[in-house]
Amino acid sequence: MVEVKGLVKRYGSLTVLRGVDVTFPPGVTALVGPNASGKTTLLKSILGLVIPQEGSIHVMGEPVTGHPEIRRHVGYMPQMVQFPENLTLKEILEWVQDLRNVRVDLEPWVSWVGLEEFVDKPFGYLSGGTRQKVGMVAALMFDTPVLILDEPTAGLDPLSNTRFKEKIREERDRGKTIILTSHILSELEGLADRVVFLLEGKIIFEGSREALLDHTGKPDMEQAIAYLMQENGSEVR
Amino acid sequence: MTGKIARWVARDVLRSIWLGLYTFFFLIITLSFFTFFDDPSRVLLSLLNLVLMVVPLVSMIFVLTYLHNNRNFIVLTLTQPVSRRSVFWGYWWGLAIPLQLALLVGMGLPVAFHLLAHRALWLASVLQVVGAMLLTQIFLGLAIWLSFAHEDRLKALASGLLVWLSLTFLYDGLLLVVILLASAYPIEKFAVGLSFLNPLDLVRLLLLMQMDVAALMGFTAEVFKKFLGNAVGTLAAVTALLIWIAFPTWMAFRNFMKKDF
Repeated sequence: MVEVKGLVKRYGSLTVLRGVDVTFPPGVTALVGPNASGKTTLLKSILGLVIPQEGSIHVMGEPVTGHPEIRRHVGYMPQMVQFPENLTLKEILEWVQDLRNVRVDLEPWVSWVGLEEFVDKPFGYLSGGTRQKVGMVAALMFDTPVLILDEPTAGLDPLSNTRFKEKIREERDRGKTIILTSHILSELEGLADRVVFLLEGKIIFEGSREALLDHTGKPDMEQAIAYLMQENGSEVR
Repeated sequence: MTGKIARWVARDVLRSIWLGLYTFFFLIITLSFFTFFDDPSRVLLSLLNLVLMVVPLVSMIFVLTYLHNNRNFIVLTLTQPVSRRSVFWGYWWGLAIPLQLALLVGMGLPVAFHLLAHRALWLASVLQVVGAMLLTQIFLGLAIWLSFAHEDRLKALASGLLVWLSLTFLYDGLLLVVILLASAYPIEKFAVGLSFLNPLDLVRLLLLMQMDVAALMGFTAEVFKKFLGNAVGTLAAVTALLIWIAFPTWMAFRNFMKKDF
């Protein structure tokens, strides 16, 4: 569970988040919004990367700001996965374990993403999709109650994509809080139970997928979001 | 946690081909200087000129490039349950140790072997290596500061080169102009003060004060020695160099602690 209250973030004179109140309960929530809507800033605030001026964030009931240890509850997969080039895949995963002071049996994870043959290869040798898989493992292997996945499927081949989605559903059924973003809304279809729509630093819609479709009268998420963007875009500007 | 991060960063950096080339470069140069020049003071002076040029440039560019290439990973590290303080110092040590090891192996080892056979100028020889290590640490701090102060890689690289260029060439030129223009006035003290503004000048002073090669000393070194004496002068130069390490590192740390990534 992640709770955000009255979050305000300004970069100089530019206000990116204008008092965001939102709750991410257990289940899969899709965080959507056009470019520069504040999605990334909101995620980064939850992760402690961005320091907001006002408001509070609680992860599993504990305040995030000033408490790095709270991030033991959070697994994060960034949009651009990058690890030190001269270290092998195995070393990288050991490093990430060191950061958490947790030991995990790597074998099942490595075979889940089919990277057995790359275990002793330096990260610099791996291709884009393979790197993405390493990022996936680094985010999922600690069995954290909260998962934040920023454009996780970009660059994955269809088989890995399917496996990844299966895993997400599995984790959801185990009661995890999963926050997903994607530019490809059809990717989120069938995965997200809830939708949070952010526009120009404000929450425009927050509710279940069904409520979104009802609210907009559209048949799927893609059209519903497009409709919200159009409607609010003209209002805001 | 700082130690763990530093160990992993150092392990990654130590495998860098560029670090290997840097070590090899100094090893070859130092060995050949000792082989071809009979006079140890000539070796030290040639090495000094090389160190003042190469060490700051390599430290600056290497650290800027490494931090830029690993920016996304540093951000990922910050999303783990570790404090920013540990991440900062982990990278500071993790980069410093391999760069210092490169100098110790590339320059320290040949100098040490030479000292086993010839005791002449031993203090200057040691200071030569120490000076290079201090410069490494100074430019490492500057590079970390610049790297996190700029989001744009090119801007960070350009400002790094500008700092290097100013301290290496522009400063000497300006100093010369000031001295020529003010030659009618007693500006010795002023010139000594100016030296503290340039770590390269301080390292040069540190070494030349030990070598007693008055003709090669140059204006500031002579004045430095005259005003401060050998011991006090050395101490003053070393203190100033330590401040040169502390200040950029402190600025970088402050910036890192409150930065939005």
